Amino acid sequence: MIDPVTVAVIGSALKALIGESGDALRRSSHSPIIREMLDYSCALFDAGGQAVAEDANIPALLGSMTYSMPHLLAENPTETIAPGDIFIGNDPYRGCTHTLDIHIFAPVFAEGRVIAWVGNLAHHNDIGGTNPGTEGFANRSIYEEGLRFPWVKLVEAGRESVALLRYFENNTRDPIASLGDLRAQIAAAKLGVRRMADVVGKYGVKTLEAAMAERLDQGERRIRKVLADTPDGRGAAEGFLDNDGTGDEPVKIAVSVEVAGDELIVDFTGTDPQMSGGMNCSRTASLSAVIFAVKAAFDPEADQTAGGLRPLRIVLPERTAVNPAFPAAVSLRHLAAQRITDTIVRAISQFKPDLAVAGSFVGFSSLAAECRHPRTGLPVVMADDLGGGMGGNAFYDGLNAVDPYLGNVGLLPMEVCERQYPIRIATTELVPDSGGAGERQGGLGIRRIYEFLDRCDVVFYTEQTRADFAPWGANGGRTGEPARLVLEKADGTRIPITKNRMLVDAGDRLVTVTGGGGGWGDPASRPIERIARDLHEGKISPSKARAAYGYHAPDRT
Amino acid sequence: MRRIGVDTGGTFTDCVLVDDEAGVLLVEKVPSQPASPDAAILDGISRLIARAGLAPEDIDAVMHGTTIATNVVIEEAYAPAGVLATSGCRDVIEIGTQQRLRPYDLLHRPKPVLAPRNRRAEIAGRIAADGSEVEPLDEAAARAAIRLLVAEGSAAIAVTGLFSFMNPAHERRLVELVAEEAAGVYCIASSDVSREPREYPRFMAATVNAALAPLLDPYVRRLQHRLSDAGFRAELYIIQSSGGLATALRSMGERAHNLVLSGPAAGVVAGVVTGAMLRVRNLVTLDVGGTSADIGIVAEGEARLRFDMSLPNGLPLHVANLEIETIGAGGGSIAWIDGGGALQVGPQSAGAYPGPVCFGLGGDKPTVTDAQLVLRRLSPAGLLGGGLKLDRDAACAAVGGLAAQVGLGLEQAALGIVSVMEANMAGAILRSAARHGDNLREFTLVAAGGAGGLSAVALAKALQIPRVLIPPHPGLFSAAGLLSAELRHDLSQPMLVDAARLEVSEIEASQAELERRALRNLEIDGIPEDRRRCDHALDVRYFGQEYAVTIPTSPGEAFHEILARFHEMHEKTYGHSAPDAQVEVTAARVVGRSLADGRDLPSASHAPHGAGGRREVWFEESGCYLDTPVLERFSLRPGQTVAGPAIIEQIDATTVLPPGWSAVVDERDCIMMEEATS
Repeated sequence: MIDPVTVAVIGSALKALIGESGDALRRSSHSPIIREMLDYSCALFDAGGQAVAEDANIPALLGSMTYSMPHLLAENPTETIAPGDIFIGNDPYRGCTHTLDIHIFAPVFAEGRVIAWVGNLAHHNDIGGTNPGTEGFANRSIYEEGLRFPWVKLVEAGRESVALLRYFENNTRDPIASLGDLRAQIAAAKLGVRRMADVVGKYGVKTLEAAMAERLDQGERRIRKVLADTPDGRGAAEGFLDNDGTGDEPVKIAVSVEVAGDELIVDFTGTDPQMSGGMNCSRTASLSAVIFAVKAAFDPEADQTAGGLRPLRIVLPERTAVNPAFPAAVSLRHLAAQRITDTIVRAISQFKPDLAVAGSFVGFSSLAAECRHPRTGLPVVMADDLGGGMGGNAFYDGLNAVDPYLGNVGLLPMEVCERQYPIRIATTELVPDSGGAGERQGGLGIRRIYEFLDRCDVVFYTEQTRADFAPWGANGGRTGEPARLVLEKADGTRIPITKNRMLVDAGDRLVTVTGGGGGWGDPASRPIERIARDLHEGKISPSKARAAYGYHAPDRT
Repeated sequence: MRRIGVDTGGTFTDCVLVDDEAGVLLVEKVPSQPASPDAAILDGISRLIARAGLAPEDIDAVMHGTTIATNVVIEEAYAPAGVLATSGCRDVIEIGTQQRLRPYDLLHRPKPVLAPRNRRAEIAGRIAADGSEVEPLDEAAARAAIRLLVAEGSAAIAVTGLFSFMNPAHERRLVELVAEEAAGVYCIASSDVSREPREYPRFMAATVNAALAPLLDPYVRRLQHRLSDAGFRAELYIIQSSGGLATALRSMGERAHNLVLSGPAAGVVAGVVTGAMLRVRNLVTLDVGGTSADIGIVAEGEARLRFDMSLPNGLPLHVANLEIETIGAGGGSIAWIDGGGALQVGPQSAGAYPGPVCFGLGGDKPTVTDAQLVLRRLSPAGLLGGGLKLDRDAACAAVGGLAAQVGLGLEQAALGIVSVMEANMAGAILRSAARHGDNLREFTLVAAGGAGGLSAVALAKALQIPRVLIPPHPGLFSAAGLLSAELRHDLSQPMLVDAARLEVSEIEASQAELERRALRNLEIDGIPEDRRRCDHALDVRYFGQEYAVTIPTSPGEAFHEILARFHEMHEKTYGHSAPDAQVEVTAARVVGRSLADGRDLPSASHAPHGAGGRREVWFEESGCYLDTPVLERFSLRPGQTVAGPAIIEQIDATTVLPPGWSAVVDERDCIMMEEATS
């Protein structure tokens, strides 16, 4: 049996290696979605594909690669894998999340066999398909969602597959960024493999393998202890999407969560059938959403490993919105994934009193625009995603203007946007009155106005535009405000946006107003000085102070 | 020349006096006085000159490193700043990147906001990406807004506008209006603190500046006055986050936020200076204190500079700063076993109080210092020449408790605690080096701080760094660095030029203008002409990238050579390059600096302190206690060689020389350690 010191020392080395690989990926990538928004993840796996160290910048990617590795291994028998190989994959029906998340895996060889894998995944701006930015709410099938790589070798024994790279380049709307990002991914994987060679040289294969196995066991024991220490209990909740991307009917996500002994059962029985549009949550994306919620609710500080997943029993009924069958479209899985997380948090909070929090904005108001670079005229794809208010909790008001839960992508800087794309952002500001009233008020949403300076082909989408599905209040708190998007055409017409694709011209403007978080606790218990301070800061209006809190501002003298 | 270096730390204020003519170096350590740091400084340097038999007017220069700005930032004890924003910018500093500091925390505490919304006003005015005006400035509204900000209690005002790095006209006009409407209120424009694109970090830099200047400027002035009242005629210099010195005057106002990393910067500069003295070009500097370790890298004789950083609370700051990695690993780091049976060290620290268990101040959780004491690498007789008693039995009980939890022997557990902390440090050093593709086999590890020498050889072995250097006074390393730092002015001009359609003259004109400004600054600073120097560089990137690589250039150099170096450097740093891809130049940079006068620091003469002796020490290499000589640092003479195992002690530091390594003392009193050749 390996001693805990060696496990900790090797664990520290593996985490550093993964961090280093991520640094390399980020700094040499091309597109803002990786650089500014940090939408990437790196991980290290044992030979069997179990993640032993993981560095997920975006919680949405948590554990994703653990679910895609088995597909790679199943499709590529051991004897076909050679040193210097690098695999690519992005197919949601082969364990990936959506086609834009490209997974890269490289085997680590020692003593003539694979002893580990280094992997990374990065969100690309576009990978072809019907819509600019590939994501499409109205997509009818995966065949509208761009290139799908089965698990094939992008690099074979050290030689890049020129055919694949050129084919890839020829099928994306933003080839410079896409190819640059892909090269950054390859370089990051190679770096990881080189560093692993050092680790193997230092500790030997046997010790390294024993340490990786023990790290997984430690992760499992740690979460089992937390669950065993949590009183058994069960909660259930339902959450709704505004529509399925093609019609007007809401889509239900039903979940029950139960702690039984040292296990956790998450069951989505009762969730609506898979949608006809592109908002289905692929199986892997649904699992990542569950992992995030469990980690956040039970043990946020733990290192993420596949061992920590062993005590989870996750029931995802087939042919539903959370586990669609081929060839359902899944490119906009993020909207459903956020709602899944939100609903699990609501269910857990029913039996775990220390999870005292209201619902957060999960509308993820976004746009992707196919356009021409303002200085060079080359084709580029701009993408931006806006967060909103986080739910209030027993201790604090909800955070203003954040991408909650699985998100945490950065905002596109106004100065980067206008330099790279023919789009001027006129303002980025807080939305007064948008947070749900409560003893602890929900966080405020964001208002951002995009002015188009050239013709662009734009996909707009948002969720949570309906008041009945707005961020929920808890413990007597009120709901937050829903999102509102309006396209103001240069000719004065105003087009409300939920999920639209259209050509816009110079002079058109998109006004995006995202939702506020739910409030926590009885509004009547909100301290007067907080109401007065919010009024003074212009975060609530006098009329809202009166209506929500019965507070009358003293006359200014 | 007679110089004094003063480094204010959390616990001690370290003072070093060098008299070049007399060949004398004297040191003095006095307790810091957080409430009035200047009092401790005066106390320390008065003692120094008294010991040297000098008068205040004999001193030519005082160089100062200060943690005052760092502390304001850590404690968030800022001055009340206001923000005057042009169109669309009022809430930028509150919204930030829309990211959460702790993404898995559902009960998140509010994000820090330097200027609350009632002290932020927005008025019309907008500049486009190309620098043209989209919307004129509404001056009447601006005047009203300024009066409002003052009425709301703003002690300083930051002016923030989009694309002011391209065209600062609106910001400059607003600064004038503030002077008219609110005379005496400190005002700063974002374009004056940074010329880097990305509104949020630039606006934050301006706001941090506005929130610091009202507090720092009086401190700098007070220190100046106290020095002159005491009879000093020397110029006061303060070290900046960039590792360069600036005159007191240039450490105020628009450069106040440059002091945020003043303290740690001096340690890296000391590395540069030590390296230059010993003709060692590549160094890793490691400064280990009680709660954290600072890691810096000196490559080819230069400390690495970057232009952005994160404050401890996650807020970004655009400021030239040395690339220093700080990790929560130090003597006070607490060891614990998590729910899964994994051994963890840190990030919690017992700090100075209650401190490690062995301090006997009420700490009851085993720390790295306790583990080192169990292994007797630290002297059971105590530290600081007996000034700090250590209780080894208590340390053994605490470490033993942890050992029992995981079924290890006492020494294995102690060794494990040390190993895990060292693995975390090694990982941080590896990441720092990897960012630039450094090959650590070409480096020397310089260990500073009281605890650096305890882990230095272990880290060198883990990282395949061939040599370890222990300076004469590890605890005074930063103060010594101050004495040799250069004055420096980091200037830049943003641009966006396609390399294929490049007008070389345009770039050369920018650099010439920057050089002119840098030389003028040095002249004003009183640097004689023959010691002024300018280094040139260009920021270059592949088209579409947002991060650029800074490529040093020489005036008149052919552009294709610069491009070739860019591809080479990109390959080295990131592992790939694309010589056929489109390239663009994003900024011209010039660093104006005062050349050091070339004189080495004299070595100190020291009376040996304590007697040395022998004790049983546990080494990882031996796997058991070895009867080990304990050597008093200053009983070792230049040229003397010591074979491991040995413990080398001095009043403020302990160095471990394990079996298989040997040490030699050079003529400057530095200890150089290498693997023994058998």
